[in-house]
Amino acid sequence: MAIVEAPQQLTVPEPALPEATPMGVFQRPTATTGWRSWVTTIDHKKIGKMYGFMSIIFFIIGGVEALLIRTQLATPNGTLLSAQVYNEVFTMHGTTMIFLVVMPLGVAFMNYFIPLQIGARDVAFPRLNAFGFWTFLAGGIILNSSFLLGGAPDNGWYNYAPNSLVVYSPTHGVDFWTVGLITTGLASLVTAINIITTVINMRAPGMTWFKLPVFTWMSLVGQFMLLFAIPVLTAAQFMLLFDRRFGANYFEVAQGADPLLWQHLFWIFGHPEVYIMIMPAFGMTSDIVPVFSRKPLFGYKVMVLSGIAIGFLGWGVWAHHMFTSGMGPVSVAAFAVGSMTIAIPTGVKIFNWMATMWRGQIRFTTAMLFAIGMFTMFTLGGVSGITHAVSPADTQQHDTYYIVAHFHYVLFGGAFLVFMGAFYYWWPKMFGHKLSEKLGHWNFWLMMIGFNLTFGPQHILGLQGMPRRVYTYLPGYGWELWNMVSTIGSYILALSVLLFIINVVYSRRKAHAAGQFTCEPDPWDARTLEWTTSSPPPEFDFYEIPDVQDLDEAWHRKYAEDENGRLVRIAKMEDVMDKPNGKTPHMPSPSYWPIVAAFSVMLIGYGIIFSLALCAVGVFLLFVSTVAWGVEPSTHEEVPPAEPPSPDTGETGAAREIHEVGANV
Amino acid sequence: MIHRPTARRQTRRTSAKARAALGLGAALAAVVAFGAGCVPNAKQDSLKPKGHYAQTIYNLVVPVFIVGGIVSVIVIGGTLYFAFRYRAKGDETDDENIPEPIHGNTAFELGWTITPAVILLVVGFATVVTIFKLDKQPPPQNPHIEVIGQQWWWEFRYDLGGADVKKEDRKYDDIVTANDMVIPAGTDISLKMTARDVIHGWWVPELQGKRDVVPGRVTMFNVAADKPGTYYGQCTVMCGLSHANMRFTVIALPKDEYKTWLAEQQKPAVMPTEELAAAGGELFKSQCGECHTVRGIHDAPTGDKSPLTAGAAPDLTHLMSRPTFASGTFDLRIDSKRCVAKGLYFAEDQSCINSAELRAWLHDPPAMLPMAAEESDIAKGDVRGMPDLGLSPAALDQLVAFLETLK
Repeated sequence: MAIVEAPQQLTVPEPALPEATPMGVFQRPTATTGWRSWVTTIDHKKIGKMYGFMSIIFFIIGGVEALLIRTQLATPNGTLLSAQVYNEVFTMHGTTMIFLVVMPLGVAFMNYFIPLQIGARDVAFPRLNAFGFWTFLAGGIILNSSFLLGGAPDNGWYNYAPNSLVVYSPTHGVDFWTVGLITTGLASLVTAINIITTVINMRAPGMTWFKLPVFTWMSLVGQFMLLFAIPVLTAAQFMLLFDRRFGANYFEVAQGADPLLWQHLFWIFGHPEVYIMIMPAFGMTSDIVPVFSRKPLFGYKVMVLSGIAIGFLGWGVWAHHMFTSGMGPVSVAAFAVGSMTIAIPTGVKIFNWMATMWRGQIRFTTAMLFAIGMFTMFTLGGVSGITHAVSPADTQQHDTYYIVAHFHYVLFGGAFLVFMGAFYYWWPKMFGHKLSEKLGHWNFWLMMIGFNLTFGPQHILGLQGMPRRVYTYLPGYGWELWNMVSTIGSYILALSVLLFIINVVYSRRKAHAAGQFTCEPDPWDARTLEWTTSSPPPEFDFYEIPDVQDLDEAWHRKYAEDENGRLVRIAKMEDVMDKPNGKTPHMPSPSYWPIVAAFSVMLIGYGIIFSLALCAVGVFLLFVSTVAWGVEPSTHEEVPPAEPPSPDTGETGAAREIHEVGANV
Repeated sequence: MIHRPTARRQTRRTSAKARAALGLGAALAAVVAFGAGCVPNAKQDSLKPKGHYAQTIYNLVVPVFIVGGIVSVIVIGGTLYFAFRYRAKGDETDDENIPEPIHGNTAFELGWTITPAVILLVVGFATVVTIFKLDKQPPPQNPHIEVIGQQWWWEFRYDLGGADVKKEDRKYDDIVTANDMVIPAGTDISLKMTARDVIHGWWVPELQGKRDVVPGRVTMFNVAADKPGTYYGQCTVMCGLSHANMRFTVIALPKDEYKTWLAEQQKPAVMPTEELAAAGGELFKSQCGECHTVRGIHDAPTGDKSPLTAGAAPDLTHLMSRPTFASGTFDLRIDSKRCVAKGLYFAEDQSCINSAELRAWLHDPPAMLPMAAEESDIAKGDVRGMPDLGLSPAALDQLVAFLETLK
């Protein structure tokens, strides 16, 4: 059942009453352009863009850290960075790329495209969505400000106890790590709740579970995993925080603690985290490959079910990160076999993507190249993953560059490549113009070459015995050649990223110089619902909430079988798209309070690190903003009803009701 | 029904793009093959097993690599083939030839679910068997060594049953050494491992996989070397500032030489009579004695030093029988054929001792290995390892002369 039917047509929302705005500041802001509109926005599309923008900023920061690492290791006895700075840089590289790049970049696309793919006007809780973004940014700022405030975390992204305790890591670095990630964790949690609610409750009429685009499906699975995984990390981080700041003894070995407690907690979060990051990428590949193969996704239901299967299996394999911890042969055997089972649903996905291309009509757009790059490179990462699941072999690979190679093939080769593809694919929908395909092809090939040169040789380095997290190595171990190759590769990779940024700027200038601010709704001959609205979509996404008939709704509006059962085009998207119907749906107004609340969370965070007085200020501000959030009216009272005068959209059904309710949560 | 103009496709010339894709794939395969096959001068290489534990692991993983390689070639090759074979004409869609909408194929999908499952069943079975095989303890009469990790060096203790003195009355284990672990070749050794501060990882790739050493826990592990030789290892768990410099070696001796080594290592040191060295001995007691022990001459104070950041340091009783110092970072034995041939007895030839670097190390250890996060920490004496004691050149000469008597 897709939608709970509403018992009656909704009444016109009453204009905000004056007594609901006891103070002027509680009125809702109205700006639709300028920086104010971005700061106060609760529009899922603007929030999605901000997620994307900040992720790219953090990606550049993390990328510079990566280049520092590679430059240091280009030759033996590198002297660019001291041991301490190197430890800080690789810790921040990992933390940044995972929590501030791959996760939020997935969320950027989810934010923008899930409502469009399910035919909704926004997410279920628009202000909570804005709060999620600003809190994520606050966490990112807390983490990165550590470089300027006395030293960044220096104990690896996994931050194993007891090396994370004050006595071994005396700077505030680990506190920044803990507080920063508790903050981004809060952001992830509210976003997960928001996205899950949106997908479950706000699908357009007719969009049953098996008509849901795969990107939305996989994102839903990933967000469910996140909902259960993040609290485990947060709990562990609170333990660490209490150990470090308030003298607790969770990880103090001399007091009888077992350091393996941290490892279990961290990886119970950390392994599902891997799937949290890759799930949206699975979804994007499943959306992009069919479009440019001009065929439906091969085995749609199997793809969905295998994603769900991975979502469950992903919980039972965490201890494969601990094969060398000495936890005993029985647990090792159980987790080894458990880890192998994940290869089965993952393999199904890869073969189904291949089968989607089989007998297709393949267009090599940049998006398609990146999608193909994704699942081929992901296969290599998956295969090296199997070699770790063979736990005796893992004892030779664990904590070496072989592992570094493996997870970069999965997270860069898997997730990030198709995120790049998603940029190229969805760019016209988001910005009203395509990115240059010519530069895009250069972007793709440089990235593939740079990526493989950087991380391919690291397999060899690891098997040749080079441990990870080392700031230097001695000559005479046979590691010189491949380290140099890897460093050269990393610069090629950096060049490809630069080319992407150039492409963004160049394509935008070119389009705007030509006066092009919108483009055709469906530039790729695509299949899913987001392509049935204009590019970029109106603020309210759809004039009319679509009535979904088919999986691949957009495709079925354009194509049908003729009397011989042969597929023929019956319409152009321009003719069957969502069009102005003389009504302008009512949308909730922007709000100041999400960013104020997020700012107070940031104050509390810094307060925990530096001063409890600051903490108190933050708590007070959080209280004020929460109350203000609760009592502010749902629209600015002075906003004149948009034309036509009636704000009633005429839409019926629960989608509308939930939207209206959700708008004020 | 399939509407596919095969004739037209077959006559089409290979596009530049497809050729580039194939070329890149071939180049990648060549790079990987080259890298795996051509392994230059690696001395810490997991692909060159020199002991039966490492060999068992190697025998298990090589078939997995091969199967994985085949799967990768099938997927990447198949994808490139489909990409080439079913490419569209130009960049435009062709409404005359819309591909048949194939929604799936149960037989195929079952096929590529069951086939990997069967392969993994075989791999999983072999894995489980190997896990238990590797875990089997050597017979109790075999040598057992205690391995203790500490920031940033390794201690190895040999409890040999201690002649006629009861264990609780004994002051020392029979042998306490550091960073160069000596074992008899061709014998399974039982390791009892723990750590004093944070988690470290013990790894000698040519002999065995790695195992974490965890404070507050004792982990049992096994190691064996088929033949005499020196095998290189290093710490694998991020353990702080100088993690990268926590190296060590395993030196496998022929069984009879090992017996000799055991006998010699159990002898206490004797205070030298030669003037310079004797002065150095006194200096050692006053300057180094807080942390270092030389059995027979000076015992470092014991007692609870937790949480440990420094304060326990290598036993130097037979320093001159160890080919490296400072966690395997520097050679104590001059790296020449002549000196290496002397094995652990290099110190008998004065010219084989790397006195220069030893002296430099004693002069300013934090300058040679990172031991403090900031320069200012060094000034405050907040060093996690050997501090700079500010020794005068004369004092250094005395100390080096003393240490060189500890054969």
